[in-house]
Amino acid sequence: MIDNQTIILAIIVSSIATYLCRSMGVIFSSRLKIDSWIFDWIKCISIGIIVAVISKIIIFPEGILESTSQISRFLATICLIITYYFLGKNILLSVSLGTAVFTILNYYNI
Amino acid sequence: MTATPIKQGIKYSFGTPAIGLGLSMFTFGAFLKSSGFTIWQSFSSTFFAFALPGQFVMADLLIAGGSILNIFFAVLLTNARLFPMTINLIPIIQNNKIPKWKFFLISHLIAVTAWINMFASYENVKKNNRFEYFLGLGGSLWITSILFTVLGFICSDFINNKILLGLVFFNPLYFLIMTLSNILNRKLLAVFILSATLGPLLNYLSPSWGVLIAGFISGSLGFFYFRIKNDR
Repeated sequence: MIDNQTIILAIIVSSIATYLCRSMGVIFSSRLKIDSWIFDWIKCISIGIIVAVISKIIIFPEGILESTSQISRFLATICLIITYYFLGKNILLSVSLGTAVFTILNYYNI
Repeated sequence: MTATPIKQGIKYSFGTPAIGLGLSMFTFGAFLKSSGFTIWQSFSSTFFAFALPGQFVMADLLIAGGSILNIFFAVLLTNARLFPMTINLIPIIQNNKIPKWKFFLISHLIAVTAWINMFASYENVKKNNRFEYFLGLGGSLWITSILFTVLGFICSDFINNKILLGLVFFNPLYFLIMTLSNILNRKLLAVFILSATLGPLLNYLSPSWGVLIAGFISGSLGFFYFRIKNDR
């Protein structure tokens, strides 16, 4: 068991690290115009990082998702994309079906 | 009667965005309980360090026996995506009437779900109302996250582990489809394909930096390729 003091310290340093990223963003954004090319470039980088995070979670997950099978994550993702484009781009429906496929496959250790 | 911008933001977050984030936070709360956290520590984690991937890294490293310095740098790297996301979002909600310190406060609400949904909806909101609109959208997602972390902590004993595990996948699937639904031109499609390919490849070579480098390279390549092409 982890002791209480270590947990509290970990929460404090995580909060500082997380807020540092946001506050630096506020400082650097002060002179940025919404119609400038830099704004557009940073938006491309932000989307690039978000997509890289998602693909990492699906292909090389860490933590609790590490115990799930690669095939279940792939099939759930394929199910998500197919249902999204073939069932009228309904986000809630496609994400729910993808999650259901993932849960069922892992429930039966597939 | 017209709803105030803050109410419009709250209304927009209800539904799939809140469900997606809530389910993941629910699982996170259950995970913290099994890791030896107290209910107050679980609450504080989402209240102060709100950004799920970083929260998972913190808990995983604690369990693995990582040092406090190790946790600081791992969370900093994991959440570094918040830096460009904040640079992008602040000019959208910028308003000369609002004092600067309020932007430092509201930046705490910037996370992937709020960011994606803000970009999907801000053009329908008047420039002067966007700060309040985002306060409603991001604020309600933050409060939902805190509530669901605590709820997950309380309910963890009553829910099958495998079902809890299934719920945690709702959020990455939601991120994926929201990102895809916001791909409105060939430039962003190129960034998407490049990053989806480079992300896992570079992560394999460098688990700590792979995601950031992949995002930077694919975002820059996609952007400059189309900028040069359109200039010709």
